[in-house]
Amino acid sequence: MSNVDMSDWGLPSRTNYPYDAPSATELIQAVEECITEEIMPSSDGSTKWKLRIAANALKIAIREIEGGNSHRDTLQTILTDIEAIDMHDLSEKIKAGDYDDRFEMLQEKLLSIVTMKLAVANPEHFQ
Amino acid sequence: MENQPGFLAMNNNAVFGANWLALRLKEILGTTEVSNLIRLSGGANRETWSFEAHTKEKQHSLIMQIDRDGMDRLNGTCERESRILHIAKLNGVPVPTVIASGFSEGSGSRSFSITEKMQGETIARKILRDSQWKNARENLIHDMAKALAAIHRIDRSQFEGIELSDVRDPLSSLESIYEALNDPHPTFDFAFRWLQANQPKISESTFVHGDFRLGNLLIDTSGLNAVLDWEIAQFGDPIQDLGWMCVRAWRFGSDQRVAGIGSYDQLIESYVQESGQDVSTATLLWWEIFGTLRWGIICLQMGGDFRKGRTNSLEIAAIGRRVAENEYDLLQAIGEKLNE
Repeated sequence: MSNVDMSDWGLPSRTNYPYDAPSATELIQAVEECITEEIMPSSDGSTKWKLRIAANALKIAIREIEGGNSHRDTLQTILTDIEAIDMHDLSEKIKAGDYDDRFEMLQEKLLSIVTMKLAVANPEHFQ
Repeated sequence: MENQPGFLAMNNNAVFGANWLALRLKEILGTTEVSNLIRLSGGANRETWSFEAHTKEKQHSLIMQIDRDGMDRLNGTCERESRILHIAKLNGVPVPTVIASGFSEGSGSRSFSITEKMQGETIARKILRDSQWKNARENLIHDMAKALAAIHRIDRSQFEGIELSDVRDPLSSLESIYEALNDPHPTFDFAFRWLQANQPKISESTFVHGDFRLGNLLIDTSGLNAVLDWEIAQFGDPIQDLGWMCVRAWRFGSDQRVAGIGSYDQLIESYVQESGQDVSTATLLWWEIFGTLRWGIICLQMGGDFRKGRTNSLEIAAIGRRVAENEYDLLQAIGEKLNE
């Protein structure tokens, strides 16, 4: 008998030590599937509507946890690119007219930021 | 108002139960019994109940709305809305008939209104997709344009005594709401900047509904049956009501630009025909973009209400995350204009 534990083989490596599996994302996923596949089909009216909102909110949470770090880095790169410190600073500079002579460029940079946000909030909204 | 036949302002103790309702309705309609009191959807600012009132001769299907306790009253009250409904009705706008309205007594006074229950559907996704509404969909753009023309035509002197804001500078008004949230969104600042630079000449200020779109309209199988939800009615540029229903959120997933049903050309043609007022595509587009910014800021505000603990509603929390949809739509729409 080998004393190597092979029960995790083939699964993605665990990242949430010292906690046990399932991870936060896996738990949220399980709740979302339970709502969508088990509870929703036998509900109707306003309950069904609320469950749909709940399941959708959980999907947003999963996408946010998964996208978070890389999106934060990308945001910082874009902000540096257009000489803004943070979103607050960018807001102030737009209001002050700092980008009025580069309005198309500003539109493109904002679209890159918003595209990241929308990919988490509601990817179905992209045309 | 109090002199209108069948229209009775009432005072009462702050109890809105079935017994109270039966007692009040006895005074107004000679009702002998109230039955089937059912709570309908809960809006953010008010409770809505449906019930049957029986008299010796007949049965009345009625709707009662009551201000929710503890909410900000920025959006007006049920009593105020009932006075607006009454004026709208006198001016040929399709609305439910008001049976009664009034206030509860004491501190934390809540107002209420009782109206006739009209037939129809308000759920936009059903109206846009189900085959039973096919005929209604064919008539709706014209019906909506006609109702809007009737709303915009009402002489403002008729609203004397009703507190209605008069928005002469819609951009500054919206901007002060946005600034008060203290939650910077550069895309919104970008949109304000573009809207300022491209603002059309403001039309003469008229009475406007303020939230005219599917969801707030009662649709029967032949078309528009009633205009509901007058909470944010005010005076302002009438074209804002047309632009608002073109906002992508109010297309409810349909690719048709106006209310998910029709085209700019159809809307403009019907509105010009009904109102006699000219509307240009550019002006309508400006108000659509303004409307998208407005809905984006409302989403931001709702997300903030949840974070600040003003509400624990999951629906409102989820609306907070719809900010990005509006930012995306603003960047797309303004981007197209920049590339022209």
